[in-house]
Amino acid sequence: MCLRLKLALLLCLSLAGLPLGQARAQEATLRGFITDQSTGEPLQGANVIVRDTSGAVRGAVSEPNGLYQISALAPGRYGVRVSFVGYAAHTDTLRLAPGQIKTLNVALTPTEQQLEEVVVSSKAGAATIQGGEQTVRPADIQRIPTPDVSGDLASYLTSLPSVVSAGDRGGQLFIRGGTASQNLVLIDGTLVYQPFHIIGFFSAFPQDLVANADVYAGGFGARYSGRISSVIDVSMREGNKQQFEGAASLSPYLASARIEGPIREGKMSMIGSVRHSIIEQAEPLYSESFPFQFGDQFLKLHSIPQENSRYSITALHTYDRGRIDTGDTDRNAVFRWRNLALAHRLVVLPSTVPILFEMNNGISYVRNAVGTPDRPERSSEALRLNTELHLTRTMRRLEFDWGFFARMQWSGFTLGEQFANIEIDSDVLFGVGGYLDTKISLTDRFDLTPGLALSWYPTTYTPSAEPRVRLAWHPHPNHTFSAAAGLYRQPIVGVSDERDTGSVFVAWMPAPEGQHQPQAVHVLGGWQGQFGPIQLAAEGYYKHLSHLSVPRWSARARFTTDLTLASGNVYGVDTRLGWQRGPLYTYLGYGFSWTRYTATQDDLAMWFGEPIQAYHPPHDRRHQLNAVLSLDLGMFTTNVRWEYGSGLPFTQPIGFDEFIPPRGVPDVQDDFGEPRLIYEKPYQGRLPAYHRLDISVERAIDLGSAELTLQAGGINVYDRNNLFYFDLFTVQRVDQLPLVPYLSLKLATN
Amino acid sequence: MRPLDSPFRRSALLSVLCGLLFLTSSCDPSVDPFARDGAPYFSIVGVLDAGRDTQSVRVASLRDSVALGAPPVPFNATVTSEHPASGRRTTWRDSLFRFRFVRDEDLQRDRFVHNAWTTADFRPNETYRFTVTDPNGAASSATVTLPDTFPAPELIPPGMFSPAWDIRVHGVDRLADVIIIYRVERSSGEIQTVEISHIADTVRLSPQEYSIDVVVGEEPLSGTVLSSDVRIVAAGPEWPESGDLDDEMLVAPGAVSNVEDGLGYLAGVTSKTVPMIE
Repeated sequence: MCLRLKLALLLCLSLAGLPLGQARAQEATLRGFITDQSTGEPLQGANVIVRDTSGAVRGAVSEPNGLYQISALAPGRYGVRVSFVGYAAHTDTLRLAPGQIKTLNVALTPTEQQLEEVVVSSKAGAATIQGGEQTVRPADIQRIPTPDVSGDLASYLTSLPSVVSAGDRGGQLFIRGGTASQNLVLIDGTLVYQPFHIIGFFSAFPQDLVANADVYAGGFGARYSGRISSVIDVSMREGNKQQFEGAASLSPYLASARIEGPIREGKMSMIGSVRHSIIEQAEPLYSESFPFQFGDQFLKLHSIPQENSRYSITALHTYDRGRIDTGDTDRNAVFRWRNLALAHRLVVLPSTVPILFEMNNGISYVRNAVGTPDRPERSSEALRLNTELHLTRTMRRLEFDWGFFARMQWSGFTLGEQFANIEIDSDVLFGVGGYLDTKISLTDRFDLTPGLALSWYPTTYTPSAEPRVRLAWHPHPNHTFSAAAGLYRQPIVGVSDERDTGSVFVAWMPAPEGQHQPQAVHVLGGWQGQFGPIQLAAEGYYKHLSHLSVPRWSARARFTTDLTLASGNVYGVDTRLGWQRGPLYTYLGYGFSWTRYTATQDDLAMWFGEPIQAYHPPHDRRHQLNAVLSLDLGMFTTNVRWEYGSGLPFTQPIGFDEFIPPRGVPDVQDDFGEPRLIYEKPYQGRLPAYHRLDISVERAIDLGSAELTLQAGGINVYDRNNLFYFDLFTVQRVDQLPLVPYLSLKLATN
Repeated sequence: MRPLDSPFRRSALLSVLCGLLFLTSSCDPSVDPFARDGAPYFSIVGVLDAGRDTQSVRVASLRDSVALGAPPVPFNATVTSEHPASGRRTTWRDSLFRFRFVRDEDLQRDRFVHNAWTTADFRPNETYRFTVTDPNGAASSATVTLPDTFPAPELIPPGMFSPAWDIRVHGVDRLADVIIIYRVERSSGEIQTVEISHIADTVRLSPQEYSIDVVVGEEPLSGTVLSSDVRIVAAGPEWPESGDLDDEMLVAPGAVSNVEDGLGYLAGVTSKTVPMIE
C-alpha cells in the first residue's frame, strides 16, 4: 500500500473512530466476504444470522461485493448461519471478545437441488422497487428476448416502466423525465458516458459479465453526485478464481468471446470479453440496410491480497458507428462514439476499526461525432479523472456512509455545419466534495436515511449542498412502504439537438458562464408487496427541474450550442406486477409520465407572440406498457416481450424556405440563402404510438465438457412499421427495425 | 421442473394468439407531420426595382419545398402583380435555379429554388400588389410602394488624411444598399464585375442623409481594378428594418415580414448608379 493511501486510510479511520471510540471498546464486530466456493465470486444478498446463547438474533445481508458486517455485538458465544438460495448453508460457532473485530469469510457451496428454488428478494426482480431503487441480476436480464443468446442490461432497462427509449437504435435512455446525459452510469464505480450501443438491444453490460446493477430511477442517496436524473451502478463479475471457463457466441447481430479464470487459484482472477457486431455483414440475409457497427472490449482483474481486502482493475472500451437515419443519403450523417473507462477499486476491512474502506479511482473518456469519418461536422469529447473514498461504519441502529471525492473534468467540442462557421470551445472543471448518509433504524421496521452531498467547483460554480433523505417502513415482512426526496445538481451538461430526437450527438460542456448548475428536486413514494407468488409494486414521483440548459430554438437547419434556460416539472407513476408459477414467469409494468419544460426565448415572441414556451420535450412518453413472459419447460426456454409506448412529442413543420436576410438588397439569382425550417409551436404534435413483440426460444444441449445453446427468435415479429423519429430537416420518416428473425448459438465450457 | 398442465398451456397459447391478432390490426403507424391548416402558404423574398428592366422575386411554396436537398418540385402556383391605380395585372413567369454545394469530393448536392420574373414596368412612387396563389386558392400577398427618385450621391475622394471615399446620400428615407461595382481584370486577362455591399458601413447623419466610407480595393478583388461605380438603393416603406436584430433573430420566422398569409419580405426600391473611378 503506498504512503499516500496509508495516510488517507489513517485520516479516514481516525475520523471514523473519534466519535465512536467508547462504544468500540466494549462491543464486538463480525464481518467478512461471502463468496461462491466453486468460482470464488462474491454473493450479493446472502443472509448472515448470528444467534447468541439467549436465542437473540442479529443479521445482515451481503452487499454487491459479498461484504457483510454486523456491529455492536455483545461479547460472548454465537452461532453463525450463512445461507443463500441455491447454496448449502454454512453454520459455525464462534466467541467474540470485548472490542473484537472478527473477520469471517465464508465460501458457500452450490447445490443442484436448491438452484431450482424461486429467488425472492426484497430488492431484486422487475416487479420490485423501493424508493426508486431496484437491483438487477443476470437472471432478470435473461428473461428479455435479445437477438443474442446472452441477454443485455440495455434490453432489460427498456422493459422497466420508468425508462423511455427513443427507439431500437441510438442508445438513448430517458428515465422519469430526465435526459440521457443526466443519467449517471457507473462500471465498478467509474463513470461511463455513453455505454449503450447504437442498436438499442445492446450495451457495454452483457448478461455474462454483469454481477448485478443497482438502478435508481430517482431519489438516490448522497453517495451519488454529479447527475440529476438517475443512477445505473453496475458491478461486473470478477471471474472464476478456481478454474478456466470460456464461451463464444454468434448471432446475426453480434459475435462474442469470453474467457475467465484464475491467475492465482483462489486469490486472483481475470475475466475478459470481446464483442463485435456483424449485423452489417449480415445485411444480405435480410435484404435490409443495417449500417451499424459496434463492439466492446472488457477486462477485469480481481485480487484478494489479504483476507480483509480486495482490489480490482476494470478496463472497458466501446465503439459505435452507424447511420441512424438509414434512408438519408443526402446528409450522410454517420454517428460515431467511443468510450474508455478504467476503474480501480480497493476494498479494505481495517483490522483495528469496524469500518469498511473503499477507494475508487477512475478515468472516463468519451468522444462522439457526426459526419464523414475524415471530416466530421460535429465532434465532442469529455474526460473525467476521479478519485473517491467511501467509508461505512455500522452500529446497532446506525449506519454511517461517508466519503470524499476529487474530480477533474475536461470537455470540448467542435461544431461545423454546411451553412455556418466552425465553433470550437473547451473547458476544464476541477471539483472536490464529500457526502454523509446516516441510516437510522428507528425501529426494527422503520429506517430513515438522511444525507448531505457537498461539492465545489471553484472556477465555475459556488459551493453546493444537496440534502437528501430516504426512508423505508416494513409494517409486515411482505410489505414495504418507501419514500425518498432530495436535491441534485449536475456540473457538466450534455447538449443535444432537441428538435431532432434521432440525433444521438451530445456536446459536453459546463453550464454557460454565470449560470447555475442544472438542478432537480426529487420526491417519490411507493409501496411494494408480496402475495404468495405475486409481487406488486407502485411508486409515484415528482421532479422539479431548474437551470436546465436547452438548445435555443432556431429556424436554422443546424445544430446549435446557443443555449437558453428552461425549467420543468415531471410527475408520474410506475406500477409493476410479477407472477411466478412453476416454470412460468410473467411481468407486467405500466408507467405513466408527464414532463413539461418552460423556456424563454425572445425571438419566439416574433413568431408566436409570446417569448415563453411551455412544451413537452421529445422524450415525454405518456404511457408505457411492458409485458414479459418467460416459460422454462426444461428442454426449451421461451421468452416473450411485448412493449407499447404512446407517441412522443415532435414539432410540426409548416415547411421550408431559403431566407436571404435583408442586409442589403437580396440577390435572388445568385444568393441561395439560408435554409430555414418554418415550424409550429415547439412539440405540439405527437408521433404515432409504438408497439412491438419480441420472441426467443432457446435450447441448451449438454456436450459433456461444454454446453451448446441454440436460440431462435424474432424482433418485431408482427413487422409493425414503428416510427423511430421524423427528420424535420429532410422530412423523412425513419422507422425502427422491421421483422428481424434470427438464429444464434453459444458454446460455453462447463 | 414441473410441466404446466395442458388446459393452462392451451389457454395461454390462445391468449397469445388473440393478442397477436389484436396487435397486428391496431394503431395506424402512418404520420403526416405537417401542420397543414391555414397560413402561411408561401415565402416571398425580393424587391421590385424601378431601375431594372427585369424583376426577379424568390417564391417558395412552404409545403411543397419540403426537404432540404430534395429534387425540384414543380411550381404550381400563379404569381401576379397588380397596379391598383391603373388596374393593370401582370402574370409572372417561373424559373428554376440550381445551386450546387460541394462539401466533399464525392458529395455534391444540388439545391433548387424558384424565382418568379417579369419584364413589366414598375415605376417610382407607385403602389403594387404582389400575389402568389396556389391551385386551391390559398394565397400570400404583399403590397409594395416604390420610393421616389433621389438626387445623385455626392462622392468625396480620399484626402491627405483619409484613404477612404466618403459617399454622401441625400433625400433617401430608407437606404437599402450601397454597392460598389468593380470592373476587374484577372491575371488571365478576363474582365469580370464584382459587386460589394457597403450597407454595413453606413452612418445615418440625419433622417434623409447618410455617409458611407469606402476604401477602394480594400477587399481582395484578385485582379486589377479597371473602374468602379457606386449604386445607391433607396427602399420604400416596406423595407424591413433589421439593424438591431442579430442573425439568429433575423432568421426567425416572422421577425421581418410584410407578407400577408406568408413569410419573407418584398419591398420596392429605386436605385441610382454613378461612376466612381473611370
